[in-house]
Amino acid sequence: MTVRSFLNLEHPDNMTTLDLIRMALRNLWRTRLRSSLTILGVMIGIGALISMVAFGSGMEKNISDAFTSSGLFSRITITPVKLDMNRPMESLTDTSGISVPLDDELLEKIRLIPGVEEAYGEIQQPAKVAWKENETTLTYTGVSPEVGKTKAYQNLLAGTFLTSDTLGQAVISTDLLRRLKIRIDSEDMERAKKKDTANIYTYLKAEDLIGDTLLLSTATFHPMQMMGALTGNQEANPLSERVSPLVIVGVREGESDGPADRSNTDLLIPEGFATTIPSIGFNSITEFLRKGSGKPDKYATIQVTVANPNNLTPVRQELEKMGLKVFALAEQMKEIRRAFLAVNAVLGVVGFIALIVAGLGIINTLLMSILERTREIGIMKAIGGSEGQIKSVFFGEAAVIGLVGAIGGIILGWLVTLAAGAIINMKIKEMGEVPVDLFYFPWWLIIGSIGFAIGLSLIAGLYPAARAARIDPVEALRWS
Amino acid sequence: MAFIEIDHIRKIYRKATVTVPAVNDISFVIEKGEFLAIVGKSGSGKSTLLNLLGGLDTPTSGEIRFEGENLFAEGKDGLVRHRRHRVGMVFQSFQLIPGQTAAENIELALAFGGVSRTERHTRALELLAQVGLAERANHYPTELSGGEAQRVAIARALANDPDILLADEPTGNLDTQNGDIVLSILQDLHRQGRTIIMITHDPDMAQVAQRTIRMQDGQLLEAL
Ligand SMILES: Nc1ncnc2c1ncn2[C@@H]1O[C@H](COP(=O)(O)OP(=O)(O)OP(=O)(O)O)[C@@H](O)[C@H]1O
Ligand SMILES: [Mg+2]
Repeated sequence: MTVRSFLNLEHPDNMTTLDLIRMALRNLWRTRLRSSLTILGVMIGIGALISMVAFGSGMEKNISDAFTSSGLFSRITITPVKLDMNRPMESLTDTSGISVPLDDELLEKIRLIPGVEEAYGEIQQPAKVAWKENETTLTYTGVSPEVGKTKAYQNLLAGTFLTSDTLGQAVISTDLLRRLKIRIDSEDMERAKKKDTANIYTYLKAEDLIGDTLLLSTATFHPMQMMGALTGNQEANPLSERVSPLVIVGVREGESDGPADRSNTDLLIPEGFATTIPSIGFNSITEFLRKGSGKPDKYATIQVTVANPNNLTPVRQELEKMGLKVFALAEQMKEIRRAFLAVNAVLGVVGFIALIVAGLGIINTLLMSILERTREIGIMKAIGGSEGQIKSVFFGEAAVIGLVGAIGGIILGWLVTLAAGAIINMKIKEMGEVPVDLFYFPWWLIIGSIGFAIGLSLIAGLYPAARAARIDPVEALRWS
Repeated sequence: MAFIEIDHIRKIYRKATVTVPAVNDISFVIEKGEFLAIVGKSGSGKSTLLNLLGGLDTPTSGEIRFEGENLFAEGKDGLVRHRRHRVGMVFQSFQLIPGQTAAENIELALAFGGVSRTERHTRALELLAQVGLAERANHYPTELSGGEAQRVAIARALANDPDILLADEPTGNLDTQNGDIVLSILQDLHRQGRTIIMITHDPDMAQVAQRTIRMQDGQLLEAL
C-alpha cells in the first residue's frame, strides 16, 4: 500500500498534476473575484509574517554586524576590581589582596597568553574640552598609537590615527563634534541646515578640522590643600585646573546610537602624552587607596583582543585566574541573541495569526465553491471520478491559492518594508543620523514562507476536500 | 449465468418516522446486448434502480451481479471501476459541466478512464463526430441546444467504451424531433452490440426496446 493510496489521494498517470493545476486555475478563474480576495487574504498574512520577521532579523543583523565589524566580539575588557565593602577596613590598605594593578607589567604578561592577539591599556580621565566658544565634558582615553591598527579603530572619516606617543594629538568622534556644535559633511547637510533655524551648529567638512586645535582642561586634586581649605585658609584650593592644547589629527565615526549618547572613546589622545597630564589622581576609591602602596593602576582599562573568537573563553578564563575583572561583550551577545529570539517569536506569532485568518478564508472559499459545485462533483463521480481525484481537484485549488498568495505576499511584504524603511530612514536623516537597513530577508524566510503558505492552504483544504469527496452523487445530480 | 442478475435488491430510505421503500425486493435478469425499457409512474423507483445499476448508489440489501460478479462486493473502489469502464450514464437534464466545452466534458471522462493527455483530445473529437457534433467541440453547454447537449452527454457516456448504457429519461427534456435523433443514436449503439437500459415515460419510446419492464411502488409488475 503506497502512501498515496493510504491518503486516498489517488491520481493515476492519466490525471496528471498538470491537469489538476489547469483545472484548479480554471475553477478559480470562474469565480475570480472571490478567488482574488482569498488570495489577497493569504498575501496579507504572508506579507505580515515576513515583514515582521524581516524587521526582527534586520534589527538583530544590524546589531550583530555592528559588533562584528567593530571587533567587539573578539575583545575582552579588563577593569579594576571594585572595592569589596564587606572586607574589614584595615585590609583595604593591604593592596596585595585586592588585585593586580593595571600597568605595563601586566600588559606584558597578558600578551604572553596563548590566543591573545593584542593587549593595550587605556588611560581614562574626566575632563572638559573646548572648541572655540563651545565646550563639553567627557572622559578622554589615552591610547598607544599602535592601537590604530586594531579593528576597533578603522572607522576614520578624515585624517590619520594618532601618529606620536608624546605630542598633544587628538582623534575625535562625530558624537563629540555634535556636542561641540559642529556638523560634518557625512550627514545630510542641506536638510540639517534648514532645520537648524537658531543657527546653533557650525557646518564643516571633516578634512577642515584636521590641524585645528581643541583645548583640554583637566583638574588636579591636592589632598594637602584640602586640609587647609577645611581649616578656613582662603588661599588653599584643593583643585587646580590645567589646559592642554590638542591638535586634531583624525575624525572618526561615533560609536553611540543616539545624539545624547557618549562614549569614552569620543576623544583619543596619545598614551605618553596622557601620562604627562596631571589628573584628578584616581578613578576609584580602590585606586585612591592603592596610591599609597606605590602600585597604582596606570590604566583605567586594558583591552585584550583574540585572533580567533573561539579563543575568547579560554583567554577570559586565564585572565580571571590572574585575579582580573573581565568583561567580554561576545558573551553578553548570547543574551542579546536570546532576547532577539523572543522578539522574533512575538513578531512571528502576530504574522502567524494573520495567516490563520487567511487559512480560514481559504476554508470558507473552498466550502462555498463546493456548495456551488455540488452537482459538478456529482457528475464527476458519475463519469468515473474517484474520491481521491475529487479531493485532488480541491487540493489543487488550495495549493494554487497558497502558492500565488505566498509569492504575492512576499512581494507585498517586500514592498511594504521598502516603503516603511524609506519613511523611517527619512526621519532618521532628519534627525541627522545615518540611515540603516531596517529589514533583512534571510533566504530561509522566503523559502519557509512559501512552504508554510502552501502547507497552510493544504491543511485548510483538508476538510473541504474530504467533504467534496463524500458528496452523494445521487443527491447531487437530483437538484438541477 | 445471465449478463446482469438483479437479485432481491432493496433500497429503503428512512426519514424520521417514515420509511420509503424506493426499490422493494426486485429480481430479474438482463441479457447481453439487450435493449431494455423501464416504465412506471413517477416515484415508482425507476431512477433508484438505474442508479443502483450504475454504481452511483448502494442497496439496503440484495445483490446486482455483472457476469457473476457482485457489484457491491468491493466497496467504493469496485464502484469507481464500474462507473469508469463498464457503464455509461445519460440523464434527463444532460448533466454537462457548465464551465467546460463539449470536448472538455468528454476529455474529463477520458482522463478518469486512464486515457493519456495526448490521446484525449483526438478521442473526444472522434466521439463528437460519432454523434454528429464535430463542429460543436468548442461550444460551452449553454451554447448548445437541448438535443445537442444530450448528444454530447451520450458521447461522454461512451468515452471509455462501456458495454452498458444507462439512460434515465434521455428524451424527457427534448422535443419530438430531437428525441427521435437521440433515440436513433441509442438504437445505433444497440445495433453495435451495447446493452441499453432506458427509463422512459413515453410508450412510443418503449416500443423501440426489445423488452419493457414496468415498476410500481418499488416493485416489478409482470414483464409486458
Ligand atoms: N433521498 C431520498 N430520501 C427519501 N426518499 C427518497 C429519496 N430518494 C428517492 N426517494 C423516494 O423514492 C421513491 C422513488 O424515487 P425515484 O426517483 O426512483 O422515482 P422515479 O420512478 O424515478 O420517479 P420519476 O419518474 O419522477 O423520476 C420516491 O417516492 C422518492 O420520493
Ligand atoms: Mg426518475
